[in-house]
Amino acid sequence: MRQWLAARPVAAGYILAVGSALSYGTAQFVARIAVTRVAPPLVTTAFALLFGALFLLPLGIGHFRRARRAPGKAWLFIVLAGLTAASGVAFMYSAFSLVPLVVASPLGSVYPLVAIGLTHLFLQRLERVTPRLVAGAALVVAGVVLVVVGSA
Amino acid sequence: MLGVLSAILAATSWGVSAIFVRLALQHMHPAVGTLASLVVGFVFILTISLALQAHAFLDLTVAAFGWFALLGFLNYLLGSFFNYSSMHLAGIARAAPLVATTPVFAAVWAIGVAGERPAGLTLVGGSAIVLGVAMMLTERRTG
Repeated sequence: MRQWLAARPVAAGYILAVGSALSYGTAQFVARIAVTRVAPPLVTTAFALLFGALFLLPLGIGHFRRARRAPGKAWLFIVLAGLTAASGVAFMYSAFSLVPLVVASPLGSVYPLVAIGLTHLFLQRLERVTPRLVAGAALVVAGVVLVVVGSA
Repeated sequence: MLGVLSAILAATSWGVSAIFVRLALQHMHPAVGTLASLVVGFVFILTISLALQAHAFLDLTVAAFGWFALLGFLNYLLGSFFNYSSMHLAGIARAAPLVATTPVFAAVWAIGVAGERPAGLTLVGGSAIVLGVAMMLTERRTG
């Protein structure tokens, strides 16, 4: 298996990408069960984040020594990232408790549109807007409208 | 409609978070950034949930922690590990559009197992979102 992966890195990457989508999609299904049958969305969010941190601890702890030399503003950005990402999870789990998964999941997946829009506004040196990007954004917005109308 | 608004607020929060992550990761390893942001998020949400729903903590069963652990495993360990590994092996431009198909897998579970019956417009709209996000992610990395 390891040899096969080493000989075909791109194919292995495709398989892992699908595996990632499968994991995230399954996690959303599990979250829907958790917030409708086990605990309120906020409590579920708190413990999902805790277990996520515990699982990632062995991977992250080895890099902490070098990260301690990171500037203060980098840590400030990570704190802000943590606050906003956790809020996002809490909002998403709240959505799972209120509307079907097939409605909430695609709406939550539009975050690259927000990220690219904000990047264009505030970090223009890092991104440029192209016709393909605009077409993709238009498709996303149209999709959101259809999902909202379809769920009304 | 409150559920729809919550999902849109989630996307907005994650979009803002992605900007902060991008700025922070210029100075530290992704594993450290992810771990630190999870710890901050945990403390933040725990504080709010204790203030608003402290009684809910008393009602938690042992089985509930199994569900929470499964969520943490699927989302943060398995999902993120596969995500980063796929980008490393295939390149972000190839991997990101496939990862963007997450709602398709969620829909398979929702329709196949939970018995959800979405409206035709919802399915068409969800497909358009997946396609649009895939287009944007591809362009973002190759443009």
